[in-house]
Amino acid sequence: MSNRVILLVEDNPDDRDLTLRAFARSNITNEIVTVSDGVEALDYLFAQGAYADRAASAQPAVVLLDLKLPRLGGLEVLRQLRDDERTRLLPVVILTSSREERDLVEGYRLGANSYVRKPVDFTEFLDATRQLGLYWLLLNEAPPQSGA
Amino acid sequence: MVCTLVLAIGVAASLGAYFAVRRAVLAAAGDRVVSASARVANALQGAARRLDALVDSVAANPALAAAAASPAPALRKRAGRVLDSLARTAPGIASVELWSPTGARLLWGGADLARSAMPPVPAAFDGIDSARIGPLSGTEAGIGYTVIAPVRDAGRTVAFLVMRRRSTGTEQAAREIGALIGKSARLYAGNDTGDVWTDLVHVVTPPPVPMTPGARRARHYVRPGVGAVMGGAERIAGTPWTVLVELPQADVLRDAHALAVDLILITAVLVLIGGAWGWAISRSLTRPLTRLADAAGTIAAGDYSRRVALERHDEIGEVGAAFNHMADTVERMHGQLEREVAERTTDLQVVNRELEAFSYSVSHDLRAPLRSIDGFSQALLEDYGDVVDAAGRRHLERVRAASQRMGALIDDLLGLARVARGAVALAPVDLSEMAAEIVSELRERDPERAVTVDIAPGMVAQGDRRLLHVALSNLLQNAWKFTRRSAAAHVEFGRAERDAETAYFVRDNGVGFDMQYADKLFAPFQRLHSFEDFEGTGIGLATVQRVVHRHGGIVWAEAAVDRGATIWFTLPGPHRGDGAAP
Repeated sequence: MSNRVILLVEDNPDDRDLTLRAFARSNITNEIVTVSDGVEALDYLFAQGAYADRAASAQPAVVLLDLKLPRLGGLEVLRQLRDDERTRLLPVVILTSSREERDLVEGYRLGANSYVRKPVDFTEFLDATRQLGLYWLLLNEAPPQSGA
Repeated sequence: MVCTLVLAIGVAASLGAYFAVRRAVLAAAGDRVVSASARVANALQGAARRLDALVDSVAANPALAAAAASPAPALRKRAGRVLDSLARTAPGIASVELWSPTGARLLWGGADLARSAMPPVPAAFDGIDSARIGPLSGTEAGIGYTVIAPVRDAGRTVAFLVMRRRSTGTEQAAREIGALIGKSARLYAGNDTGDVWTDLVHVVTPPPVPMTPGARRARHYVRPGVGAVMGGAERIAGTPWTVLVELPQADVLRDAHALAVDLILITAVLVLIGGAWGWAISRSLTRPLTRLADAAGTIAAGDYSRRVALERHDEIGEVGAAFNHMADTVERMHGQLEREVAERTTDLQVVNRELEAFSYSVSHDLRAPLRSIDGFSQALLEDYGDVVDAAGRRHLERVRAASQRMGALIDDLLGLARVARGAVALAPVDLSEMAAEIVSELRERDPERAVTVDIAPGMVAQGDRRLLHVALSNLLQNAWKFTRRSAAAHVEFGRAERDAETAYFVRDNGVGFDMQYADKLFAPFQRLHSFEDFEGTGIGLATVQRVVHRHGGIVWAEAAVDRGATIWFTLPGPHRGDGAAP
C-alpha cells in the first residue's frame, strides 16, 4: 500500500514545492504525482487525454485537491469523481487556503474525506502534511482497487 | 331602519283611521238604536192608547155596573157575555174579570183561571180612574200584564174591569220585530222600575246599567250570551213600560273591522312599495360608495391596478373620478418606488457578490504568497542555515513572523466580515458553558499559565450561537492575554443588572488601559498596546462590538492602567437597530 502514489492537484508552484518538501521532510517516500488543474486531474484519474496510456486500475492512495484551480475548480473535480463508479470511493482530501464555511460544507457534501486548511506558518503546514501522509498512507484502510 | 319607520307610520295611520271609523260607526249605531227605540215606543204608545180606549168602552157597558150592583143571575149572565166578548177580541187575552172595589172577584170570562202564570191582579185599585195598563210580570211560563178600568154607575165607581193578558209572541216573531229595526237588532220591553225585562217572550236578564228612558244616548254593556251590545231605551207613554233596542257591537263593527283589515293590507302594500323604492334609491347611493370602499381596500392590500367604474354625472361620479386619479398616482408612485427598490436591491446584490468574491479571493489568494514567504524562509533556514550567520537567521525569522502576522490579520479581517454577514439565528445559548469550553481551550494552548477563572453559572442568553462564540472567544482571549504579567491572574465572566437591563461582563486584573482611549477601543486595527508588549491584530473588539450590535445590544469598557479592564455588553435581541454604540 505504501508504494501507491499520492496525487497532488495544485496550481501554485510555490505551494506544490512546499508540499513536496513537507512530504519529504515527513519521510513519506511515496511517489507524488502533481497536476496543475482540474482537467488534468480528471485526465490522470480516468486515464484519458495525456494520461490515456496509464493503467486506470492503479489509483492513487489519496488525492490532495486544491479548490481554486484553473479551468476546472476543485469542487467540480470532486463532483465528477463521486459521480463515476471508478473513483466513487477514492480518498480525497481537500487542501486549500480557503477558510470559507461554504467551501467546507460543499466539500463535505460532495463527499470529501477530509478538509485541511493550508496554514501560513510552514511549521504548522509541515505538521498537517505529516499527519495527512500518516493517516492516508498508513492508517487508513483503502477501498479495494476498482477493476482489480 | 327607514322601512321600519315607514311601517310604523303606516300602522299608526291605519289604526287612527280604524278608530275614527269605529267611533263614527258606533255613534251612528247609537243614534240608530235610540231613534229606533223612540219609534217603537211611539208605535206602542198608540197601541196602548187604543187598548185603554177599548177597555174603557167595555167598562162603560151598563151591564157590568148592573152586575156589580146586583147578584141577580140574569144580570150576571149578561155581564158575563160582555166579558167573554171582550176576551175574544185578541188571542193574548187570558181572562176578563169583574172585581169589586174591595178586591173580590165578582165575575170572569174567556179563560181558564186555573192556568198558571196569569199576571197578578194588584192588591188595591186605588187611583185608577180610567183604563190603566199595569207593569209587566213574568214567570218561566211567560210574561203578562193587566189592564184595569173602573166601572161606574152614575159617576160612582162600583167595580173594576180587569183584563189579564199574556204575551202571545214567539221567539221567531221577536226576532222579526228586531230585524225590522235593523240587522241583528233585538227588541226588549221592561218595566220603568227596571224589575222585569223581557224579550216579549221570556223574562230576560236586565241590562247591567240603568236604562234611563229618553236619555237620547245609547249605552254600552255586555249581554250574557250575546256579548258587547249597545242599547237605546224609550218610555212608552201611558204605560209603565220602557222599550229597549239592542245591537251587538260585533255586528256594528263588522264593517269597521273589514275596513281596518283592508287598511292594513293597503298600508302593507304601500309600505312594501315605498320600501322597495327607498331601497332602490339608497342602493344607488350606497353601492358606489361600497364599490369605492372595496377598491380602497383592494389597493390597500397591494393591488394598485384596481379602479372604480362610476359612470355618473353627480357628486358620487366626481368622487369616483378623484379616487381613480388618486389610485393612478398611487400606482405610478408605487411602481416607481418598486423599480427603485429593485434597482437598489440589484445594486446591493452586485456589491454583496463582489464583496463576497473579494473576501474569498483575499482568503485564498492573499494567503498563498504569505505561505511562500514563510515556507521558503524556513527552507532557507533549514537548507542554508550554515551559510547564513546569526544576524541573517534573525532577519529570516522576522520575515517569517511578519508573514504569519499578516496571515493572522487576514484571518481576523475575514472573521469580522463573516460576523457582519448572514442572518442572526436566535436560540437559547448557555454562555457559562460556552465560556468554560473556551477557557479550557486556552488552558490547553497555554498550559504554563496559571489563571484563575470564575464563570457565573447558568447564564443563558437568547442569541446566535456562532456569533456569540466569536465574541466570547475574543473577550476571553483578550483577558487571558492582558493578564500575562499579573502576579495572580484573575478572569471573571458574570452578569449584573445595569440600568434595568441584564448586562454581561468579562473582567480581568491585567494591564488595563487609560480610559482616555476608551472610545478608540472598538475601532478596527486600533491597538492600545505595543506589539512587543501584547500581540494582536486590533480587530477582536471590533468583532465583539459587531456581534453585540447584531443582537441589538451595546458594549462598553471600564478600565484603569494596571488595574485591569472590564468589558460590558448587553444582548436584548435583534431589531433594535445596530449603531446604538455608547
